Amino acid sequence: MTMLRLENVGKSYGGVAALRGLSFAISTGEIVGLMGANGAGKTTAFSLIAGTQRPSVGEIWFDGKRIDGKPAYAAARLGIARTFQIVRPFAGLSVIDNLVVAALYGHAPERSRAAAEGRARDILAEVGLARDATRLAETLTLAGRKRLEIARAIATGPRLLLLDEVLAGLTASEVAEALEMIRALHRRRNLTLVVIEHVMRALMHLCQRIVVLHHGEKIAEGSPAEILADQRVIDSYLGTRKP
Amino acid sequence: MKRRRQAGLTLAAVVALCAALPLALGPYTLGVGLNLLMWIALAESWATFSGLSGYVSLGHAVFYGVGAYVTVLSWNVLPLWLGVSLGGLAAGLLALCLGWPCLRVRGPYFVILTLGISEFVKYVVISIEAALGRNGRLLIGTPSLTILFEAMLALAVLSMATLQIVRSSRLGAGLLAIREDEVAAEAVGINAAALKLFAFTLSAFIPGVVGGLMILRSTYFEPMQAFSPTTSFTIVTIAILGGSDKVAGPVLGAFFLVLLSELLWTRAPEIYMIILGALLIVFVLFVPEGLFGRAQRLLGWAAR
Repeated sequence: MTMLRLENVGKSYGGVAALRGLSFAISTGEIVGLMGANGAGKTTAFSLIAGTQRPSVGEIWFDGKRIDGKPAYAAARLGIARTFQIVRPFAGLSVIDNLVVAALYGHAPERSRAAAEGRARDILAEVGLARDATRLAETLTLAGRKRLEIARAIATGPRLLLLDEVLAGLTASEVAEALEMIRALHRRRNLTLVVIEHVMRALMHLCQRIVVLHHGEKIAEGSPAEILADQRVIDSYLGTRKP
Repeated sequence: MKRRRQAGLTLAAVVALCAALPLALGPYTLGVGLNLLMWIALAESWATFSGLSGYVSLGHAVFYGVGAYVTVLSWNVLPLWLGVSLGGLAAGLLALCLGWPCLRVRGPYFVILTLGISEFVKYVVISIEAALGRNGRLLIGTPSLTILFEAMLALAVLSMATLQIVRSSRLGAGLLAIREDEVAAEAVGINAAALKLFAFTLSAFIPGVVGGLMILRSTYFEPMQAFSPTTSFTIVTIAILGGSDKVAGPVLGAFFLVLLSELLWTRAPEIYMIILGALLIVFVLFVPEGLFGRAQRLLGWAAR
């Protein structure tokens, strides 16, 4: 069943087109990668889906409802959660309070603070932040803050989760741990995932399907193997190995 | 739970003790007490919006002034309790109207806009009074200092309770998230515009009533005084001195400022404003978390 559908979506800033004629659909339960060089329009696509920005043209459908132009909080309440490429924790709040507020608003809001704290504790245990619950978010390491970013998005009780470069800046072992965590979350929570990532190997292992953007346009879409073999992707993004 | 009940009982005892104070105190000391309670009520209501959301408002004076003005207009027309309550409601209504445009901007723009609009309202009232040919209004037969003191005590308690309840509620969690990062707050489902407007409106009711009570104390209404921006500045000063997102902060700040002003004003009238100004600078630079925050840190209390 189709959960998310973009139809001919475009976004321009003044005269500059960040995204042109983007169309793709995502089925419930899928993990889809969004790939492309810096400036290809990946984060713009996320912002349009999550309501942080409005598309200049085109339509976005989520769960049979048209959502383009709806504000970010409305998208979150419908069940779309996102992380930010440059993490935006509620720095002055404790780690657990970061999740409690998401659990109190979000898609499946808890009625009481106690219930919200219960949900928050479960998620913190899942992402490995249980011991840091009472620390201020600003005292976490980068890896910790990336985990918190995912945990807070999960705390809204989303159906569709948009992960924007959550692996960037992590060490090799942290990447492996984070991938395992994302897979576990996907499995246990019946999530549909869209993942922006530069770490190619991670995308190949994680995603069932990949959409490749180049200068604001979709140039390829398919399974990881198909993408690796696609001549346009090789030319524009992957490059060739020198003989 | 037991600790909470204990704290509740202690608080009730303190309030009862304060309520009995007029029996023991002379008019001068009682006047200082009224002043103290007034600043506590004002600063707590200010913190309910600005302390939690991080939107520093310099517009509280306008709510105080409107409350005073409505009370004066209804003097000898409506029952006093009704006039004073209407003052609070009018302040809330005004906040709803002003919040709509003001809350669209953040940071220094919001600060300046609230100050500008409260000055604007002041001059509107001055013009109305001039058009009516009124040059100040005198109120004769206002309630006694004791009655005003008791009413102000009730307001201060109400204001503290409001901050405490909001702080621990879903609304408070949302406001704190907005203070930390409004974009991220929207991304987790918080309708920031609606939340801010609601809290801004809520925080305006108490200063409206306070303004009504204080005009009964001064018995003379003059817009320049009733709408003086000094009220707003003093509230922010108290919040900076005490710390502004927990109930105890503004109480400590108000005690500190009122008692110190009283002391300095009687002992060193020529330089007391200079000392207060210097003190404010010291606090901003060296104790940005306020008296309450510093005390918490020194005593090693939990951050929450």
